[in-house]
Amino acid sequence: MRRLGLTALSLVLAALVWLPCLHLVYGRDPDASFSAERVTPRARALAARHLALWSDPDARAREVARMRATNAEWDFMGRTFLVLALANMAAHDPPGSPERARALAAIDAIVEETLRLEEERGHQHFLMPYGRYGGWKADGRSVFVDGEVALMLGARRLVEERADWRPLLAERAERIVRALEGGPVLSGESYPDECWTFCNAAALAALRVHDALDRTDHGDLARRWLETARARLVEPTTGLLVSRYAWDGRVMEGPEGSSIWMVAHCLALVDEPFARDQYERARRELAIPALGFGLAREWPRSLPGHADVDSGPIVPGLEASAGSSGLAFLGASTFGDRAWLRGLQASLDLAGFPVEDGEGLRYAASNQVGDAVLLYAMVQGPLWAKVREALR
Amino acid sequence: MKKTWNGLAISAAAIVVVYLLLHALGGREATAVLSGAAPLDARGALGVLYAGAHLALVALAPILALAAALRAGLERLVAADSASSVASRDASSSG
Repeated sequence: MRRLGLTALSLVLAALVWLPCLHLVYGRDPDASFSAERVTPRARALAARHLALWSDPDARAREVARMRATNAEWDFMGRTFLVLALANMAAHDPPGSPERARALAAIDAIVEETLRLEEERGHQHFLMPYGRYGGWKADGRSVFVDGEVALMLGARRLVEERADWRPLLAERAERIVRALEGGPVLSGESYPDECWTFCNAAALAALRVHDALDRTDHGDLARRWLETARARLVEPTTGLLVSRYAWDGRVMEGPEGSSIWMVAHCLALVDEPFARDQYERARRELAIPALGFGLAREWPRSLPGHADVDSGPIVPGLEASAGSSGLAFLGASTFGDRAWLRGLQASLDLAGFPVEDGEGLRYAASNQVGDAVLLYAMVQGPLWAKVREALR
Repeated sequence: MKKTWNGLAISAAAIVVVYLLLHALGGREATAVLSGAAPLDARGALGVLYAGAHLALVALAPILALAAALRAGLERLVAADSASSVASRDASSSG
């Protein structure tokens, strides 16, 4: 009996010593990865793997097929986040430098292929199957696709003008405006009778990018959207924007981690104080600090939900979500939350299974879209700064 | 006295061995299943096992190793304490 007691005491003491120290093993300085002032070597290593993928058609086809087998949206969002990341990186590199030329060439290849696929296979090619079943309340176009295509076109032009893309961006912006203005709550559908704050916030950010580039002014629409969202789309207990709602504004799903971090990031171009307030509320509701590690829940504690394709796998007990934790990097990076970035990064290094080799860096437990989000979080800053500067 | 700390040390070593074995079988690459981008087939199961073994390696094995060292130290202390008690009892009974 005494032996058992000594063993238990040893185990408890050892756990008390080791567990609080564990994060020190993984506690990388966030400034070594995340910076709006420079492209860190870690970001370059992560980008190298993506660039290699885009210069190897077979490898890319395999990766795209792997993602589309689970979710066609990932194929599309992987493109958007990678383009946004590369544009931010190119904005750092001096004109004429090989790094900038390589990033711009990759952006052009990604956007041109995306437009070609949309043209050849239809506007719904990047949607999940239920996007093709009909039942759209408006014209059958998805603000998810139009918004992110517009963001990609605009991001490229913010770094270096492509005059031939000017009408393409204007056309997408016009479609976004038509979708938003035509909706009872100033929101466009992403899927039939289904609006997402994620997609509408991205579309609004695209309009602000368009304003910055082409001297248009969608400020009034953005203000009205925010007024409507505050009145109709805020969940009362948390004060967070809901994630999914019908075209008429009927709420279908409350706040979600896999939406709110990106929403806050995009709305930072529309109304910075509101976006920051959403970020801080999300941080309070969704962040899981544990022994120096950081994770994010998919749903606020008071509003539980069920795992789905957006949340990714949920860690039992902790209720941490892969989707929310991945996008939390973008929120923390946008609002300069270094303390949480440190915790999130410790978790990523512990459970993301980084693989570093001659081709660069990737996370074995992630996929192309996950790594692209992470890369974007590492380098974001210059593009949004350019837009704010132009709109001042 | 039986060395109880041996069991703790062996458990820590077993975790290391299992982890290395799963690593050699390609477990790290198979963790793609955690992102939902790979099916939960035999390879996916390998990825899940590898992730579990990795967490055990970084969180549990050091605790077991530390506990083994602590347990060994405590055993020595207890043994020394018992020896001195016996010696003082012997001394008082002979006196």
